[in-house]
Amino acid sequence: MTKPNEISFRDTAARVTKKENGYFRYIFNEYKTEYDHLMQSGLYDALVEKHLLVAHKELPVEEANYNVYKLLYPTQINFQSYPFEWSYSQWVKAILAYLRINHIALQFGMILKDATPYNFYLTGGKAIMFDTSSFIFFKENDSWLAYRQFCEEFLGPISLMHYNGTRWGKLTMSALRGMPLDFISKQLPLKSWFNLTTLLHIHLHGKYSGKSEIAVTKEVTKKGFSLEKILSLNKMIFATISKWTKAYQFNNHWVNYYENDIESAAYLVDKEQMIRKWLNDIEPETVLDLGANTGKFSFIAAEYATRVIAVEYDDICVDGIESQIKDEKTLTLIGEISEPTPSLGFDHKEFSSILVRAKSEMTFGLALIHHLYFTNYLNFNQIANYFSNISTQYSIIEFIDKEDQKVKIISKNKGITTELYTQEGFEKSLMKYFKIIEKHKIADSARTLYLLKK
Amino acid sequence: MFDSLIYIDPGSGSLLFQAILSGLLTILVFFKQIVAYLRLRIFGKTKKEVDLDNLD
Repeated sequence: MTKPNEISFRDTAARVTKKENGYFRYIFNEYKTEYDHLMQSGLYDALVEKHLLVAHKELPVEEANYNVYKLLYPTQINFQSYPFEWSYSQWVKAILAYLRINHIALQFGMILKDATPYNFYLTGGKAIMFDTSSFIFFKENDSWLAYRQFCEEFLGPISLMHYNGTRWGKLTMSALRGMPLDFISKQLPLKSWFNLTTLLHIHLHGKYSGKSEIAVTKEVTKKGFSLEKILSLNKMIFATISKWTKAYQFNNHWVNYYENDIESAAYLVDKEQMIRKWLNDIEPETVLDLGANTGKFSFIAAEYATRVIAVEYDDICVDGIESQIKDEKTLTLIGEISEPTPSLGFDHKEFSSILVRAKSEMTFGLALIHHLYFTNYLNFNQIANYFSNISTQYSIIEFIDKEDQKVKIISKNKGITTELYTQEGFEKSLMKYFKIIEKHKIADSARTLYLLKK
Repeated sequence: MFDSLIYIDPGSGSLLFQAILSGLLTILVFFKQIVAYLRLRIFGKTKKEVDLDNLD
């Protein structure tokens, strides 16, 4: 019954288990006092009301198990993206939510014992913590046990993104338990030494954090923070991150794709009408929009589906999509088809690959094929096979003919001949994996939309 | 304090640094209070602080 889930084996206070009807959280007896305080003090209600903590229902413990105190059924997560797939604004949301939770918890005599962005999920434009058993009591002059973890897993990556560019978000994939602070400190520019938050919590902290050989007496652990100090420390970090509205950015051109860089209005209208018609006919439950760009078609899909995942490799576009998300149907993350998130963590079971997580009833590949063909050097068979693997049933794919200006430019830049890039060849590959249900030549363009079924 | 609920190693160097940080915060908070007092006396207003409780 309480067989550990691959993602929660470290926690001794609780355990997450996946069953047929979703994820459940077992609270163990050793966490009884903390759990009761969380629920009875009003802390849980305050956090749930502010959309900071996942809500749950208590269920009767169905089997006799002396170690289990409570069985919780939390609100189920629509889709989980990982921090290394987040854009800068998504990181900011998560860290600010974390600091708010800590701030509120302190007023109820508790503090967070973990500080990892992996305890958060993004939904409806908010970051929500799902680790209900992350609270412990805080007493005057206690140290903050999650402080180092907070700096290594939260503050460090966001400082690196703020000062050195958003690619650092993706690089956290290579340090799932956080990067050492002396390493982070070394990467940050000189000006970060003049910011009090980075100076104290990264640079100076980094001088000590790696020294595990220091013998810490009980007295030292009691020379922590008074409530006032820990609140002011929390506030100070919150104020800094709130000011870091932008990460360092390298040049980028995709964000204005629809505004400056596209075919005629007639093309856009016709394309939208056709896609709407197909969505309306099929009513897919889940849609995956690969190469979502500004998310225009993801939001259209969200009018018909219950879950839409907009995947885009450009982090500015992901930020743009995130800022428009109003409901829980649409989610966005950074992803690149040629570098998909693999299975990671212990035994490759802590984090599942994007191909497993994002599999959807319908997959969009709009204005994408020429990029896969010319930029990623994929042939039509590989592309068709990929779409058939990631869709459980349908795909809508747009083929851009070699006469199109975009294809001419991209093939010329890449020095690849368009000889084999033919619509006939593309269709032949599609038909190995799909049945072509409908084909529509988009108005005022050299582009064709395909509705495909496996 | 180091009970079984804690499975994250806080790091002994990090704990030592927190003791130092606590001292630094005493000084910081002290100066912040002086600045706030002077600001109130000279400009007649206090600095608006972020309210982490009510951001929505």
